[in-house]
Amino acid sequence: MIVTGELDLRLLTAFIVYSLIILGVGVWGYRKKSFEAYAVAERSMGLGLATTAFVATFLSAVTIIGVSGYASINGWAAAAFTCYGYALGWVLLVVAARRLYDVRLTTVPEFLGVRYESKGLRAFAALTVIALYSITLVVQLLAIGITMNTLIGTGVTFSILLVGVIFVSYTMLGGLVSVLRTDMIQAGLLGAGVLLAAGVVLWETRGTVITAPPAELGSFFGGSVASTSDFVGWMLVWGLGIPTQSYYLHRFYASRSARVARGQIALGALFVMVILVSVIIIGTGAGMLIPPNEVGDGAFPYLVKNVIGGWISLPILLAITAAIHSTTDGLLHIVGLYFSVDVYETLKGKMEGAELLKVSRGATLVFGAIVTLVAAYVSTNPIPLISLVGAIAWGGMASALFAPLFAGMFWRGATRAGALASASGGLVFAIGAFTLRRLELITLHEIYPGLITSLVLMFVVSRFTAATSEPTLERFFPATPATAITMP
Amino acid sequence: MTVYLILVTAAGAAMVPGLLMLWLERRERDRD
Repeated sequence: MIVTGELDLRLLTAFIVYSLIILGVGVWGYRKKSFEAYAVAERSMGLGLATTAFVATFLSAVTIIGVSGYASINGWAAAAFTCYGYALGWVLLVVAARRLYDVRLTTVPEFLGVRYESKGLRAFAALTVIALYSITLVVQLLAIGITMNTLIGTGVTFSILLVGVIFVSYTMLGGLVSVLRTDMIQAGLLGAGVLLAAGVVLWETRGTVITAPPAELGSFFGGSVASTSDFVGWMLVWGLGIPTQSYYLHRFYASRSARVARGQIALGALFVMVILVSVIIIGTGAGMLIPPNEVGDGAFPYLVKNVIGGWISLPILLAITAAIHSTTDGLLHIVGLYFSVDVYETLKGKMEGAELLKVSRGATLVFGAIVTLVAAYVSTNPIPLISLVGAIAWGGMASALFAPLFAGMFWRGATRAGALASASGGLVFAIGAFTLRRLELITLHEIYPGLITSLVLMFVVSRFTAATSEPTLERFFPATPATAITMP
Repeated sequence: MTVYLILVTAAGAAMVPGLLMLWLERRERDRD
């Protein structure tokens, strides 16, 4: 076990108290015994709960640590890298919200399976999501392990196990009911901690982080976004990647009404942007306040530990912990649920609610335990493959699922063969381009070849293959298909 | 100056999803 920080008993006590409260909420969710509650929170999610859950899920620890670290090196150019692309992603989520809400299904792969009348596509989509999210979970857990070790001094491996036990327990017990409630608490902690830290940074820099940052930290372009074409490029990477993520799309099924489905994104976007800008203030401020050799991913923890210090580090630590829990619980819920509904049930045949609930809980526990143990193991025995696969998760997901999902929602002419070709071709091209980029043969982000291939295959193959049956099309494009595109 | 521009445009970008939602809802109401 690597122990670099000094054990901070005060912070450790606060962390344990927080964990017990969150666990309590999870156990409370366990009272709801139906599969409908576990999977889609009884489709009764109101606007308040939905919005806080969206904010908490959107802001992961990787976002907070990563974006502040990026801003500590590149300053306000972090805004060009993130803000506008995220906004494009939210716009597309609002566009998709009503369509997914109206069909009243349970999972995103199920949407593809029913829309394209293909069990194969459903299983392919589910396995892609499960594989990529499992790796993402390992990466997220590693990030929190390193951060908690810096702040509390509990050791990386022990921190991972501690965090793992908590979020796996409440996600397994209460499913989406618990995830949404804990997300609400976590959104509050997250917002409060980040705003407080931004306030301290504004105070420490006497406001110059906004009014007069150093030239190298005060420009629009910098880092990964050196030109307008980079700007557009990253906007597409985020903008088309975000609306393919199941942990957002899934919440549309759980919404009480179409208004809530859209409203959670519309309202959540405002809160996320305020927190995101605060994170950029923290990062840019860190670039001004901490020694140059400490900038990067360790900037925020270093700032908290060595510049801010005192009692204020407590709410900030809780904010970071809340950020990791609220994203990992959403991911794990999706992995457990999709395994039981889209893989297990597809193979075994129709199951009753009680049995589905049992399998979902079991799958959540098994996957949760595996990712936690793998993260704990990797923390002492690094496996380069983990970060490599983690890096392909974003582009891979968008390349495989964007075209089948959005064409399925808005284009009657999209066919099963088109969707299968598009999903598999997109993923293969994304992985191929990713490999070429790693070998430094190309500089292009893999999402471009992946997405272009997937869109072209969707269009071309659909034009030459049999259309989906009329009853299915009627379900997805009822009576007035004003927004649907009819092929000539 | 750059920072103020970033703050204003970021705020504007965050409002787009909400404006889109209102526009979609109005269009759906008009159609019914």
